[in-house]
Amino acid sequence: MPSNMNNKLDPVFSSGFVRREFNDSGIADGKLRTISTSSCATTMSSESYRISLGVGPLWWSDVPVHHRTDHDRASLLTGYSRKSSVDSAGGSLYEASSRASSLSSSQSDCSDLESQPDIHSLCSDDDCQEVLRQILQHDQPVQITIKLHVTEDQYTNWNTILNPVNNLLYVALPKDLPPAGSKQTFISLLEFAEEKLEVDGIVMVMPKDQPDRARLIEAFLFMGFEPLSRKAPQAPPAAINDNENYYFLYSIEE
Amino acid sequence: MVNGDLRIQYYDEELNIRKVIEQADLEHLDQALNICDLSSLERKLRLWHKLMPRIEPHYAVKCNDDPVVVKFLADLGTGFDCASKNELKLVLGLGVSPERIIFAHPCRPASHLRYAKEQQVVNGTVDNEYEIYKLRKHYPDSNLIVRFKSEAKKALCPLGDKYGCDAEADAAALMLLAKALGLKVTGTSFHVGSGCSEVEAYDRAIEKAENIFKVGEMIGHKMELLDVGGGFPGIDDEMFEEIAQSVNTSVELRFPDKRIRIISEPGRFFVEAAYTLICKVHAKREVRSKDGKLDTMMYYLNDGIFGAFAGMFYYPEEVAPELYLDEAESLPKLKSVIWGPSCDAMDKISDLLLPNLNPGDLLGFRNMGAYTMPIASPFNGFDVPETRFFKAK
Repeated sequence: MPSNMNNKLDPVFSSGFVRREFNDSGIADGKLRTISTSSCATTMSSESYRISLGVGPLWWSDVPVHHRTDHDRASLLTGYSRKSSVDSAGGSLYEASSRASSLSSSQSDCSDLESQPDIHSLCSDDDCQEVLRQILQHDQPVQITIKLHVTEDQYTNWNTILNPVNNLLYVALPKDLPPAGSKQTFISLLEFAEEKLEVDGIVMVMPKDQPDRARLIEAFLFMGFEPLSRKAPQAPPAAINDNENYYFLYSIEE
Repeated sequence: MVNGDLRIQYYDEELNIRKVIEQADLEHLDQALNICDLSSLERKLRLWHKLMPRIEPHYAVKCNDDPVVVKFLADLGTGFDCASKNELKLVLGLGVSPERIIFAHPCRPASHLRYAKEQQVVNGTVDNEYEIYKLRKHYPDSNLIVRFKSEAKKALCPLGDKYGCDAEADAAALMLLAKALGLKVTGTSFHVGSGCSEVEAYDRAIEKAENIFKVGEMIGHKMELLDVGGGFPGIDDEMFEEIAQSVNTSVELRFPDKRIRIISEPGRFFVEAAYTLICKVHAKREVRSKDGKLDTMMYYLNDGIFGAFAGMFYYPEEVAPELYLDEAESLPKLKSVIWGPSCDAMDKISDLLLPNLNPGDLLGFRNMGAYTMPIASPFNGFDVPETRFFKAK
C-alpha cells in the first residue's frame, strides 16, 4: 500500500502520519527496521493487528466436513499477531502478496517468505475473541491489516484503520486486487466489520486511477456502498483536499 | 401517483420540455434539472404487458432508486429486484409485499440475509457455494434461485465482474450442495447484460435454464421459477419488440407448463427514456492555436461525470444534446467540448459540434433515467441535479 494512501485513509492526521519501511534484507537478517516519521504518533495506537479472512464459511464451524473444498480450507485461517511479532513479516508480506496476486505461479515463493507465527495458524474461536478483545479495547485509532484469502495461497492485504471515536472502519482498496474469487472474500471483510468489530459503517477509499474502476464502483454500489463526499463528516480529515481518491460509505445499522 | 403526490405536476396530452424549462426559473437554480415523465413509465409497462404477458417484470431498483419512481411502479403493481438491504428497506417501506420482491444479489453479507429473513423476502439468487453455506446458517427456509452466466467465463468471480455460475459445470453442483444441506432450490436466473443488443442471447440462456430445470428436478428440487433477468432496451422499442418475440417463442418452446412462474428484472427498460436532463452553460473558453485561429470551444456545464452523467463511467456513449435556441439547426457549428463543473480532468462529457453558445444557454439531454441518479454523487461536493416529476392528466 503506498504510504500516501495511508495518509488519505488516516482518520486522525492531516499532515503527519506513521510510516514504516521494510526491506527484504532486514527480514533476512532477522532485524526489524521501523522508521517512524510521525510528529504526533501518540494519537495513533502504536499497536497494529493482522487478521486473516477467507472465503467460505469462515465463522461457521458447523459446516459438514465432507462438503468442504480446497477453497474452504483457507477460510479457517484467522491468524493474527500483534505488532511486535508482525512487523518483521509485515513488509515482506505485502510484497509477497503483491507478487502473489500478479503472478499466481509465485505461490510457493511467498509461503517461504511468510513468518511462521502469523500465517496458517488455525486458531480457535477463543483466540479470535482474544484478538478482537485487544483490538476493541483501544480508544484511539488502530491499524488492522486484513488479509483476505481467495485460496490458501492467494490473498491480498487490505490496510484498514479502526477509529473507535466514530466507530468507523477505514479501508483502503489495494492496488493489486487478486484475479478471482475476491467478491466473496470482500463480503467476509464486511461481515467481520459488522459482526466482530461491530462498527457503524465502513469508509472505503479508492484511487481515481484504479484499474477497472467503473466495474469496481458498480460492484461496490450494488453491495450497498454509497458515494461519500470528501467533505462529509465520516470522511477522513485529510480527504478534504484530496482529489486523488473516491470515498464510499457502507452504513451498518440495526 | 393515483392519490396525487405534491411532487408531481400534471400536464395535458404531451409533456412540453420547452414549456417546463420556461416555467422552471432555471436562472435561479444552480444545479441541473432532471425532468421525469412518469407517464412514460406507465406506457412502458403497458408495452411490456402487451408484448410479454406471461413474464412479470421485477423492476431493478439499482437502476434508479428515486422513491417517487419506485412508488409509482409499486402502485402500478410491478415486482422488484433488490440488490441490498437498503433497497429492500426502500421497497418494503412503500408497502410492497415481500413476495413481490426478489433479492437478486448472489453475494450478500449475513446481516442482509437476516434482514431478508425477518421481512420474509423469500426468493434470492445464489451463484456460489459460499452463499449456500451462508443461507443454510442465516436463512435456511428461503427459496434459492440459481443464477448462471449466459456466457462461460474462466474466472471464479472477480470483484467487479458480473455474477453467475457456469451453467454446465457449476449449476448442478450447487443444486446438489443445496440438497445435501437441506435447502430448496426453486428456480434459476440469468442476466444477459444491461442494454443487451443481441436478440439470440435470451434464447441461448433460456435453453440453458431448461437444462437446469431438468437437472434440478432430477436432484429432487421443485423447480417453479424462471427469472430471465434484464437487458431490455430502454429507448429502442422496436428492438424490445424483437427481443420480446424471441423470448416468447423460446419460453413457449422450453417452458410450456404455465404453472412455471416467469419473472424478469428490467431496469433501464422502464426509466431510461423517462428522464431529460437540462444543463446550463456556466462558463466558456475559446482554445486557439498558435497562430491565433479558433480551434475548439470549451463549455462548462453545471453537471457532469460526478452527477447525472456518472453512467458514462460504465457505458460511455455519444450524447446529442438538444438546444433550446431559436433556429439552432441553421447556426454554424464549431468543434466543441463540454465539461462538467468539477476541476477533474476526467469530468469531460463529450466532444461534439455545437453552435456558438453563451453562459446561461441550456442543453437538454434525453434518456437520462437509467444508472444516472443513483450514481450521481457528492464526490466533488457539487449538488446533484434536482428532479421534478410530471404526469399526464
